[in-house]
Amino acid sequence: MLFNSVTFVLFLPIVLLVISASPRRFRNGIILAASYVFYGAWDWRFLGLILTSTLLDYFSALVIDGSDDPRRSRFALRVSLIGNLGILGTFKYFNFFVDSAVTLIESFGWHASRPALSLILPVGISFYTLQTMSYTIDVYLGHMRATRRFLEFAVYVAYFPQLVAGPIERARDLLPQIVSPGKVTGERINIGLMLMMVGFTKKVLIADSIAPITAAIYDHPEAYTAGVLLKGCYLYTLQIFCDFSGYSDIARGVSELLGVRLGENFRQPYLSQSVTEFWRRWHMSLGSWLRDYVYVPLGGNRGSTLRTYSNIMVTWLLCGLWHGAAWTYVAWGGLNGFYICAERLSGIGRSDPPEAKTASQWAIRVGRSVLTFHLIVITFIVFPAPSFGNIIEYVRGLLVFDHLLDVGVVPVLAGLAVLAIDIPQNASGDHSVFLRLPWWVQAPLYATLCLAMMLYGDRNIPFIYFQF
Amino acid sequence: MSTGGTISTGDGQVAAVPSPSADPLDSDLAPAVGPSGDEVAAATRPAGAPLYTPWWKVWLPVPLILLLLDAAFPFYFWRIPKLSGTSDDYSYQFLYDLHDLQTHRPPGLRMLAFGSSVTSAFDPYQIAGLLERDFPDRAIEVRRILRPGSKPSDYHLLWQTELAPIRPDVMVPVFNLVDYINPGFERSLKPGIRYILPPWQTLKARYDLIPGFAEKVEMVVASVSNLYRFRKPIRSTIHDHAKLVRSWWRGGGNEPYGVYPDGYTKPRFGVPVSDELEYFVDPRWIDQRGRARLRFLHDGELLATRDDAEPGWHRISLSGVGSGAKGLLDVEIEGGWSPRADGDEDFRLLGVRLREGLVDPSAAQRRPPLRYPPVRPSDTKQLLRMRGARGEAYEKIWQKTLAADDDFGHRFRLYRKAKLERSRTKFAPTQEFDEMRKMVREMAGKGIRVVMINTPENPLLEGVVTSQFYRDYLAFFASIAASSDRISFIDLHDQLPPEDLNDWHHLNYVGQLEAGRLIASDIAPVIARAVDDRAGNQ
Repeated sequence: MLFNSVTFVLFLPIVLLVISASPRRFRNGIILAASYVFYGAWDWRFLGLILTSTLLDYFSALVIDGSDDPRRSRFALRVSLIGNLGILGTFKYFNFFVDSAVTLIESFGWHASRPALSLILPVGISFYTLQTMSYTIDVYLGHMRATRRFLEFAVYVAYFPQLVAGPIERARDLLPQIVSPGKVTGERINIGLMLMMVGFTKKVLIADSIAPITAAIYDHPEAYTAGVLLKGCYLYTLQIFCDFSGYSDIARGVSELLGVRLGENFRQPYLSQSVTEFWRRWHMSLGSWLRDYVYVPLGGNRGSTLRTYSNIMVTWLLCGLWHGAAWTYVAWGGLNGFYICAERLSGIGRSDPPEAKTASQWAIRVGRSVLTFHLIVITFIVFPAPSFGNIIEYVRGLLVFDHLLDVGVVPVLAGLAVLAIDIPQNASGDHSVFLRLPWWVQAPLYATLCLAMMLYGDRNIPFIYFQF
Repeated sequence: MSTGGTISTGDGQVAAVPSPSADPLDSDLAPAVGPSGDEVAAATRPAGAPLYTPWWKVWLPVPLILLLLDAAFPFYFWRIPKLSGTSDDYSYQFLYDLHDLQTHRPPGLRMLAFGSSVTSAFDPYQIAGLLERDFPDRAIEVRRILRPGSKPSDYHLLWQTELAPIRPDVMVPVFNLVDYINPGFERSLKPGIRYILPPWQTLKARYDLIPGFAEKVEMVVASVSNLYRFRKPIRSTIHDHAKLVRSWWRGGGNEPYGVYPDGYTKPRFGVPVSDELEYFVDPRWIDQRGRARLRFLHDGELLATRDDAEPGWHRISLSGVGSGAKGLLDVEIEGGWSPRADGDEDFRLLGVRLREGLVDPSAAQRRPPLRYPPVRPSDTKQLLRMRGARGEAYEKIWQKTLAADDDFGHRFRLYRKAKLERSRTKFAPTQEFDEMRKMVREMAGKGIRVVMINTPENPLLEGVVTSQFYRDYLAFFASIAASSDRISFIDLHDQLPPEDLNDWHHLNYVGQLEAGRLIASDIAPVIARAVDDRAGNQ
């Protein structure tokens, strides 16, 4: 079920009404049922996978927690990791690895057949797999104890607001809230609806309006002038932000209405002063997951300088692979890793510039933001490309520098729309800053936005990150 | 809730994630004793939260405003003029026309043609002009509603729900074999058809044909909300008006347009203002369309309207604007005429002829400016997909189009295959045929005169019209016509040469003009009987 669908607009109030009208002890049962309906709406067979993952990690963690024998704990951890990564590998990466192996074999002049599995990639599998794995690993590392509450654990794995595209929540943060949810106060309703409004605006009104333009340009970059290609990559950079952060905002808003606060996943990333800072503000839950479960176990920055850089690169290459089963995603991860290594080497990423007080300091901040934004734009030429040939065509077309005015005003308008949301949030440090406006400004504004969403919301374009 | 957002993966800074529940706990309910929902909310309360407006003040007015807009929708939306032409948004045009039919009663006879895209063979402006010549003392309103991809079953549903109350005197279902190919063929291509039908009745009647739960839910919502049901027309009108604003902003529209160097004009043209204008109405124009109706405007303001039933030179004095006035004199002509329909090699869709053409040849290519209020949609579009070719040249372009790897080529092949396959089957009057029969009989049963029109087939599609299926197909409609003296059948399947069609069954404007003349002459006796019906009723 898509957030941006009429079905969800009807589904959510029904779930909220049923929860509020039912005794508190049924709450998690209702949320679990709602989560399975939400997820099963794509394909009921996917529920088997999520149940498998739930059972696997629930029992693995119990075995780890209840055992004094390190070998038994390690065995249970391996069962969990192999099980989860096995599901992920089979459904997401099987064909990719087979294709890559066959291509490698054929490059030596040998013949190899391509056994292909025709599997549909289950929506959100990468997200809930990371989430459940982190629970078992945390129990293994002694960061938390295993829970015996199966219902609550099942809700933690399948919690519908953030099930298919995050934020990737840690059990130690989310599980206690599922067990003891907060009261749905007026403030929570305000914040929840506000976040949903911001999220839907970003997704339905900005990202989905841009999507047809970027799809046409990225599909056939050879057919366009440099100006149009420039427009394409600017717009895609804005589209993916509005699409993904829009999803996170909606997820957080919905969760607020259920009395559960989810973590912030985006913090105005395009205002960052460096790529390093950008990654502290973009998809924050994935960043911290990779740090805690990949980078640190690899040794982090505790070894030699060379080892640190190699750890950074490995983490980023895996980050790329997590996004999609294609070498272009790996290259995208590698490019980000390269930026971060370069910034670390130059010392740029280690500290933020001082608060801007003078005009020249402001100019430096703005200049750094613009430069960082353009470095990110380059990565988003690679990210959605279907092949390396496509990337080469795109870059070659850009380097011709012809008809630069073809870039037009659409990226400027889309950028201004994004800044109109981001700048007040960034300046106040408050995601819900718009709630401070007088009610007679807010109500007509939100009614207008709702009307616009009603008119334009039937495009039903899936969120980009659903494919991951 | 993740609290580690200030530390990135790649920056090498390894710091413990601050979390109240990070300490190992000795209970088997360990996670349950971490921070509860309220504790997390308190710990992460936005700094500005005390300044927030109470939630009910902000959020309760939102649904109230939307409800008000929804309930008042019929009182404001249809008053907004439609700026664009029929083919820019067929669904919007359909709904707009339907609403106009429902809310306005003509003083005289009402004739309504309806059907799928092949209904473009029936140009209401042309038919009205020709009938006016035959019935000069009678007010006859000729209307058409058209939606590409619609089927007899769609119109049957529409007839039962929304068309019957408009009380037409003559109904003209216009169809072609393509409308009967099979129930799923067009529907799978054009699911948008259901947006023009009343949603609740459509859901009830077509429950099994509407795919997916989400689509059914959408139909339910559309049946209770005007804003949701008519979201596509609302979008269209927003886009059209945005285009208008943009054209105003750019200050365009002051360049002459629509006049060829030889003095002939397009159906819309603009010339520098003058005190009077002299124009020539070609006799073939009167022959093809019965009359020439011209509207003269300056700066969007209507100066005069002229109906010329006589060919030759005409002069109009435009004393309202002086020759020193700025801007353009805009002239709109209802439809247009084609020299080629009379055998000429010139295939331009023309309006009138001026004494002198414009020196600037690019004026002929310039598009007319958008204007508010808009031009009344004129349905004859200057579309010659085969570029006016004839004979061998025509066949060459035809074959190239047929083989093209584009959307049109694909549809071209798809329709050929479907028609040929259908013509090889045994005719059985089921499904759409049955719907058509029922609808026509219901209409006749209400005292309405019905004229069924079967539109031309392209002679290049060999094997279809010569098949037994097609003979039975024609016999089926003839038998419906024979069942009541209120029902007639006009068969045009072999009336036009290939050059008058754009594909297997859609006419180009030359074909439309020719078909219009044939239809008008065949329909005139029915109109005479409808006039008698009226007189008898009174």
